[in-house]
Amino acid sequence: MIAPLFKFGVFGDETSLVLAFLIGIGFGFFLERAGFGSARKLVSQFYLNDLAVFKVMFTAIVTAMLGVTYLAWLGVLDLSLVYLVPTYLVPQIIGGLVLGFGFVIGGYCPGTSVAATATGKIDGLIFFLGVFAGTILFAEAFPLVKPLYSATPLGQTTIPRYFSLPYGLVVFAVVLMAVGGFAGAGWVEKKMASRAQS
Amino acid sequence: MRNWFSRLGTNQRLAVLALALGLAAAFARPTPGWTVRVNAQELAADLQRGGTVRAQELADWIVKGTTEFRVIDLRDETAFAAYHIPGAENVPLASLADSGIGHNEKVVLCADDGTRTAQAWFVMKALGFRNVHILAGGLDGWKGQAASPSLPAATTTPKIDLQVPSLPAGGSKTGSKKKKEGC
Repeated sequence: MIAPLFKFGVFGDETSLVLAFLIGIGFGFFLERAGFGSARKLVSQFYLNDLAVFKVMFTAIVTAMLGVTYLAWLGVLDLSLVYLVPTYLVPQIIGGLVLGFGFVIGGYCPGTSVAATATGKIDGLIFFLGVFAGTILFAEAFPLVKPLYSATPLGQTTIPRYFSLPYGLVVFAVVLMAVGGFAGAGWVEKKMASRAQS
Repeated sequence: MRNWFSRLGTNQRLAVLALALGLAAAFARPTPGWTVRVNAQELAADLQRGGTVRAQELADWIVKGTTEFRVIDLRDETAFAAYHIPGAENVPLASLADSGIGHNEKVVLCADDGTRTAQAWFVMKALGFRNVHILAGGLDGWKGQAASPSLPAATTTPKIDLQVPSLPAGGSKTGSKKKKEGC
């Protein structure tokens, strides 16, 4: 968000830190207002009662993807300059599973645990301390983890590039997947609600 | 049509909008040709900073399995097939523009000839690539310093086997290969 302005020297390190802090506060505020500061709300997606998290995530993905696509189409954004985090397939799948298990067990993901802590929730604070301890443990044990950490490298790749598919087609497929997912999520929520009533 | 749309709720309207935008994107080319201005001052500053990668440094990246760079070999196919740096991709000078290399990817250019790499460096800079480097000493330097270094046995200098000439045609991404694959 602030990267291009920082890069072009509109402001320096200190200002970028202040802006990052303000953006973080804004992000946390909207997470909390959306109800994502409550573990009950967050884990109810795993019981299929309330799929708000899924819908919010997919909405964010689709909005950002369409925005980026159209900005590139209009010539405002050079897609090839957008930094991509390199893909390491196996470690990233394992990382995803670890995060998922943590989410189910603890009721939060790292970001929402901070939002919950800020509103004084003790379970959020405990989760946040767990994240903190885990981060330190990972850093200390990094030499042991390193072979796995850098296994199966695919470089800075994307789905269109990896499968040699047209970029626009993948965009459309993701939109279809999201719309289908929303319809499916609505159907599941109704089903679970009627089951709960009966 | 209008009646049908007005009967939809906000969520459904947004879904229809997203589908329409997605459908249009399916037929769009998201990266139209950009006009690039060559900034002579910037080029000169880049040159002053060096813009080279030492053979030892590159060998170290390859051995460590770092994936955040691509080695582009500018020689012809025959020379490439006979020998190349592990993980290097064969891209002739004329094909650099549509080689699929991201403008912010770290690129290391190599060839037998220093002039060829210098030309490619300028071409890539002019095309808007930001992170282009030249392999210092070219391939001869690589063979001498990294592939068969004349250093004491106790050093941790990576040794890369030079004697595997048969390779599948076409390059692949640096780092996605095993370290000792096809030299």
